[in-house]
Amino acid sequence: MNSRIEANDNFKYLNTLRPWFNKLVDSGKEFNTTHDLYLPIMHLILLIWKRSKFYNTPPRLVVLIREICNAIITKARDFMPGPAIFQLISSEETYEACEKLATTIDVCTKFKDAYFEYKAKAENTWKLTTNALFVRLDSFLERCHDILHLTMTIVQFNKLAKIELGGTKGKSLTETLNQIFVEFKKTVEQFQQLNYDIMDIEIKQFDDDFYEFRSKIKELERRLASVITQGFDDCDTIHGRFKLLDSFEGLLNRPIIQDELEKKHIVLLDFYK
Amino acid sequence: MIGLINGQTMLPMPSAKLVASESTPDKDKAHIFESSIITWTKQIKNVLKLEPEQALKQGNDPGPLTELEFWEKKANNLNSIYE
Repeated sequence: MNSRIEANDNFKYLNTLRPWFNKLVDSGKEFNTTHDLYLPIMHLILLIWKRSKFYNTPPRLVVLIREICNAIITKARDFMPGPAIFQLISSEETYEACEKLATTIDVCTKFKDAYFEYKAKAENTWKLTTNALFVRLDSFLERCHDILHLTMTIVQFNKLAKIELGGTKGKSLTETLNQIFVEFKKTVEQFQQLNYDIMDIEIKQFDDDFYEFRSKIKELERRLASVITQGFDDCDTIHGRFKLLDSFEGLLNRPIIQDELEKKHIVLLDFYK
Repeated sequence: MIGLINGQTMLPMPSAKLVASESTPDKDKAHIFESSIITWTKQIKNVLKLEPEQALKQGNDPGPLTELEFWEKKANNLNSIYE
């Protein structure tokens, strides 16, 4: 009975992975050390692939890798649950959410790196379509990137609360800035009303809601770019102009604002001619 | 699934009483054995059909320990039939 021998053999080999899988799902293990387990796990998988008589086919590897991805996603969601992101935003600790999301992206990406490292070591015997393997991990990563984009936007826009512009138009421009900031806060509050877990990749509604958020932010960015350029033109000293740009710091990296300001950089350079 | 005890496949024996009885006609005895064999074949086929992909298809995002448990169960199941 070949199937019986196969099942026993597969179990014997897979059992060597048990201590590592136990550590992987152990809630006591710190999330940001999860990637320490990737290389030993992949190493054992490659050994099993090479030595075992049956556990050496693409369908087997696909199931195992996909299930490891599931465990990593479960851990990541414990580390950074959707509701906790909204809480951090509300208590003005958005920067902490940014850092944790960056850690999450890093830990998840490292598993793909470990897989490719060992795929190379397997010397063309792992003929698997990568899409099928990482379909769930990739959509989780995409979601993390989206939410990191959201939290970064909040950190950058929060600067507006403290900016005051000088010059002849200073007062009216500062007023416009305040208006933009009020509308920005309203947009964030509206987004926070979402009544589902934003880290749940099964909920596709997120894509529509996030698109709406981004469209509103883009509009605010265009208005912001116009305030910055007006303020720039209003300044007549090079010192004032640099000070102005400096006060908008992180916001200047946002593509819409960057595009608008590119022309002004030429003006600045002209001073040095 | 028929003949499943604690997740293990048990091949049910035909009624010893009927089979051993003098009063049961041979034709009926043959029929009893036949249907037992049909049941066993179905049971064994069901165990052999089990694939690890099923856990993923059920959509509750199982972790890698599920794969270990799958092969452990399948091995135990086939071992107990073999014995």
